[in-house]
Amino acid sequence: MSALLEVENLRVRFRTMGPVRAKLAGVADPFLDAVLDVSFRLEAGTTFGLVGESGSGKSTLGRAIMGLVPIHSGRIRFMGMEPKGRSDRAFAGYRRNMAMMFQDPVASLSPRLTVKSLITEPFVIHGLRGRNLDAEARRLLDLVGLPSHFAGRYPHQLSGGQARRVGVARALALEPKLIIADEPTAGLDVSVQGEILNLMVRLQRELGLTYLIITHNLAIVRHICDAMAIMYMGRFVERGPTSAVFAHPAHPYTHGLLAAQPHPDPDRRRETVELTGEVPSLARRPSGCEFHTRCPWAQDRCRAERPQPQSIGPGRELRCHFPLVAPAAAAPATDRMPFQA
Amino acid sequence: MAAIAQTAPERIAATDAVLEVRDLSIDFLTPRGPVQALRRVGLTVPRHSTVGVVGESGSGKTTLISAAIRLLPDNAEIRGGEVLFEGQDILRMSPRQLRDLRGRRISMVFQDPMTALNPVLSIGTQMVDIQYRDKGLSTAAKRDRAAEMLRRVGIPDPRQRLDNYPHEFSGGMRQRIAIAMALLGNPELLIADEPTTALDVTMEAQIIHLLRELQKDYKSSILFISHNLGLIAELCDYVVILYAGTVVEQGSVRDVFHRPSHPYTEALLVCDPALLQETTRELPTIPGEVPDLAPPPPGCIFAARCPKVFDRCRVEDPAATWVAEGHMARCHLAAGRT
Repeated sequence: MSALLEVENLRVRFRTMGPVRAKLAGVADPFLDAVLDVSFRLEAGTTFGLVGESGSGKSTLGRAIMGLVPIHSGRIRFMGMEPKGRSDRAFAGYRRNMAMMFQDPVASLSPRLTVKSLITEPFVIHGLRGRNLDAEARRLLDLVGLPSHFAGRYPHQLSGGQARRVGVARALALEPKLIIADEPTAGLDVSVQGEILNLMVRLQRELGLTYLIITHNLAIVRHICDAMAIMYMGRFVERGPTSAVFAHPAHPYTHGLLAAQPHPDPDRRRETVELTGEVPSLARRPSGCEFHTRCPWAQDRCRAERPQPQSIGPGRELRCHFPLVAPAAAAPATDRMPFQA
Repeated sequence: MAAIAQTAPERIAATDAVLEVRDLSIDFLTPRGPVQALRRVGLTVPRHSTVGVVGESGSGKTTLISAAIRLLPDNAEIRGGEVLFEGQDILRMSPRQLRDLRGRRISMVFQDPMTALNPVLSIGTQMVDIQYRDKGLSTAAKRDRAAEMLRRVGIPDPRQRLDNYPHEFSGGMRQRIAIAMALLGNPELLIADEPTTALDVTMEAQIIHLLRELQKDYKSSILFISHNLGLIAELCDYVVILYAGTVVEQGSVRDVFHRPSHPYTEALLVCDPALLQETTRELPTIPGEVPDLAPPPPGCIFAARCPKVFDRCRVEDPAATWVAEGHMARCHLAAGRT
């Protein structure tokens, strides 16, 4: 099967200061690498979860795929097309089959437009004025489970869950193949979170959608993603099928993230914090393995030598000199692993 | 004092309470009519303990803590009840008494540390300013205290960092600073309103750990507001489940998490994806929406969404029932079981 989306050795960098100032300050390389050496394939009809702390580059990767930030090197291929070096017209063609669901649904909806205008705006942008917009609005609202009289409402008249649904409807307007969802349930109550995720899963089944879900909520990834990647300082440190990664996290960072999830059981309180400190500044990347400053099991080799990606099973890739090996064995594991009963 | 009189049945029995909310009812006056944001809410924060308040958006969590420090908006009307802090009713205090209380005996940590800190003053200046009541102390001594407190909450190089401004810290560091500032007055009660919502899970785990340690060291009591059941289980001794302005269940965390006695609590626990053993693409939800509180529907407030609803629920508001010692549920079914 050919992949819907292919990303190869992608690198996205941001300039930190102008060339003159860099020269005066003696900074040879005034850039930050937000995404580094990222490669993965996304098969049609599947869900891929991107996980990491703030500043890990997960949103930048999503935006690069959307064509919202320029690529420095590497390649993105989506349905045979690339997002760079093309005219606006061709670029609209690239974007025609993908849509983005933004993090804060109320902020991403213009407060002056009605729900109908909001969800039919993509037709106008892509020059599909011939469509019956009223009918399209009704169809889209129905698809996301909102009554058709919502078409006349304004964003401030919507609850958090309803605004989220409008965000989904807007993303679905042009019948995209790929939806990039940035924190699709951040800020929602657990009951509403379930509703939105169930809606996304149902739409995937009915419309054959492919999802790239950017989130830091591992519980969600575990339930709805087929494959996942853990990002740290712009790199994929671990990637693989969700069930395999959760069953045996091989990278210490993955393990730490899993251990940091609070578990709603007062008898399973954690007495220690496995992952301390925070992500270092991208301007000062640590030597060797970038995670060594926080890794509880770092050794001399980790400080000196950067680990290269290695395959550790079907679809699984890892960047670590001393992977945690599956159960109980060599892993200097903590007393328990989350998500395992 | 009146502290021992009429023990309302719905609060955790405690001999020594820092904060006691009794039968508190608050309306918000809106053009549509009064919205009954809190109805006969009762809760107790025993000394040296952590009490969690759980509720979805619109449940009245924020109104409850606003009442506890009397920061209610102008259109709020207190219909009845008392908020006793060390036996004194906060709702009847003079502005002067309130000033003595806030920031010293009761402190608060807010959700977003960036908006809680002044962006144009250095951390050191703000931390010295907040000690304005200690007239006997020199500025240098106040800076020393500030640096010591920063060290205590885990800020490296605290003395140098006093000269930094809020934007020079990460989100997690800012929240640590907000906690340090709240503890400078050595308060008897710390109110934390979703203090980790804006943070990553790794930072969240660190902050929760810090709060637990600080509580031990400073022997203060914490009222912790959250919608994250995992955090409540991790940090709190007691939990109060708030739904649409009513306390539907409360008790020790173990009792409430292991033997939930209100269908709403059960539903909340079922909905938490972290609690599902098997992976599923069909996540459980609570169908329906929080009812309109202007005015609230008759009968049990949860009746419209309750999977176990029966006729009586729609007409009669259930009374608070003790299902076990210190474990209250407001449900007709709980009343039937005891």
